[in-house]
Amino acid sequence: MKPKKVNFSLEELLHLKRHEMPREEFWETFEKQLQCRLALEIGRKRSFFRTNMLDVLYKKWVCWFPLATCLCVFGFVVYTQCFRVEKLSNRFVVVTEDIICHRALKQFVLSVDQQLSSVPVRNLVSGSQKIVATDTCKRFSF
Amino acid sequence: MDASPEVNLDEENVLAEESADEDRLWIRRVKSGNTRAFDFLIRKYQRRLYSVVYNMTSNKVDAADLTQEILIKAFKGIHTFKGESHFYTWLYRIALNTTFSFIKKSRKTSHYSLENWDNTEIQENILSHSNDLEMGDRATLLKELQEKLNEALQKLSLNHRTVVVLFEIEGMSHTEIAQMLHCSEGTVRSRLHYAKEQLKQLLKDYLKDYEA
Repeated sequence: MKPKKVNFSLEELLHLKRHEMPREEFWETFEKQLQCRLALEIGRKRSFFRTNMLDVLYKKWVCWFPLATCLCVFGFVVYTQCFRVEKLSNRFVVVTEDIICHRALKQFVLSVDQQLSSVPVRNLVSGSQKIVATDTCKRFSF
Repeated sequence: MDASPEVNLDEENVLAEESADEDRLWIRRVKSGNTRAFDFLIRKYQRRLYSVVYNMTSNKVDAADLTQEILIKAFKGIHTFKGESHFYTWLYRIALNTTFSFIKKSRKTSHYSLENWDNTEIQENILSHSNDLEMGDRATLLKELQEKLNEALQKLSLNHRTVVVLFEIEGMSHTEIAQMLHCSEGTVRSRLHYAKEQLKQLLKDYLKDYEA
């Protein structure tokens, strides 16, 4: 066994560690370094603040989003009702000249007996008959 | 004569409260945008924080770097400090969490880089506890003691080491440590007991009246 050179209690021995501290010169360098790092951090914090400002603006815009959406939907509905162009489809109806004379009408509701679905186009183009494609078979646009 | 320890305790409490009030004042200034006010808090706590981190890591380079990191973290997060606990409790919590994650990350690559002793004081201390040591031997013994102490501390588990550092080296109370570590005072006492037993075993060559 190693001979005892000192006879401390454990607490006394641990208290010795309180003396393990850097010299005063160390703290000067330490503070300078820390100030540099803090200055960088403050700079970063400011740019982060700017980013947040954009966020705030974005949030304000988001507040208007439901109203803007409603306006868009309303506009779309008005557009489709007033300037609607019927899509061509493979379903056909036969329309006579007297119906076509109603050019003032944008839409015309056909009665059931005027419908002639599933007839090939080439067989229907003759005389006063016109073929108009419609997706509903009940109405069409001129 | 009997009343003196109570008076001291009261005085300590008053001083602690005064210090806490002073901290609150500076924190309010920092929060209101006066970043220079944080310098006061840095100067007040940097040495204590450094000491904790150094005793936890036994590496002065890492300790300096970590202390700066802790103070920057505190600066960044000061707006989250609500004043429910003392500022130093909050600061030490950041310090311990940062140090724990550092130690866990660098466990395999850790090495010692020891700090200087305050020679005059420590030599007097050694002199009063040594058995007829000569001056030359005393310097060797100092180095040896420092190495053994740090080595023994590093052999403790993180929880045990933290309690020993905070209680024995930093001089904190069981209550304060329990608040910092989010555990009961009983747990702190128990950890301290087991840690000391381990340290006694590891440092038996330097201890008086040690029996295994």
